[in-house]
Amino acid sequence: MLKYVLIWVALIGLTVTTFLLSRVPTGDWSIAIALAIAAAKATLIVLFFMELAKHRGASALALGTSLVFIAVVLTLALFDVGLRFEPTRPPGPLVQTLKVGQ
Amino acid sequence: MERELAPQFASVEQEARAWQFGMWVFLSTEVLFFGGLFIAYGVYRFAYPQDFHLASSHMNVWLGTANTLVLLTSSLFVALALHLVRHERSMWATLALVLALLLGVVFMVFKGLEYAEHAREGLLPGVYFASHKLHSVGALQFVTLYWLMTGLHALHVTIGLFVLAWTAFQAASGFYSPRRMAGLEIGGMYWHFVDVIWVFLYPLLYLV
Repeated sequence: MLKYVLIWVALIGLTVTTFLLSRVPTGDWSIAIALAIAAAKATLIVLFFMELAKHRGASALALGTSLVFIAVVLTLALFDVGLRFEPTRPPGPLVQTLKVGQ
Repeated sequence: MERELAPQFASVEQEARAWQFGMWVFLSTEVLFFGGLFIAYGVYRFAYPQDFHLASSHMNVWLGTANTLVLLTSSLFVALALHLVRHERSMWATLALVLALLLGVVFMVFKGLEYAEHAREGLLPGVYFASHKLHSVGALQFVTLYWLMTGLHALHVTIGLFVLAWTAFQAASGFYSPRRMAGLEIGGMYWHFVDVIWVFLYPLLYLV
């Protein structure tokens, strides 16, 4: 019982931390810090509340596969919008605002 | 009170493992389902970093933070319910599940208050966008994604409330025992998953 309460305390602590950090200017790092804290919270919930730490078999593999897929698609999508050079830029508001590499 | 074991299972333990694995596969497809929206968020945030930053500051961060605390606490009660069933305290487990359910309702009430506030300010998705303060294309993209992401999440919370109500009813009927509680385990996993999605929505939509 104490274990679950301690995990809850950690989750609340991380929430308060991310809220307070959003109030101080951290510039370009703010989104990375916020996502790192969210990932830490999600890991605690998945391992101990959803009990993945105890589940045997391919459960972790199923979850891991979907996470890797999201990471791959997100990375490639960002490379695509970020690294377009002039003749390959389609018209429209999205790419006009990019101005990457200029 | 013990249910009969389905013929494809050799033992209760094997049945529980199959249920858990099935739930993980389902939740993995849910990760992909939400993942599309997270990828759209990433691409548009990359394209309009200033607009997204400005638009997110128009969200009600106090209600968003309160809702984060509400859902995390609700998850704790579901985790405690499993613990209590394992120690043969079904009535206390029922109470924990009812408290988790009530906190889920509180979440939806807060979310409804937020939506009403956005509607008054014209912070609506797509062609309904009519804000007097925000005019940029990026802000419109942010607000549209906000409604899609929180809307899909709220739909999951609503389904989760029915799941919790069902597990609370089962617990009250004395259906779960330390040996047979796979239904409660996978129902709880669904509720925790809804919590995990919110853990990522909260910083992306309210904080940065």
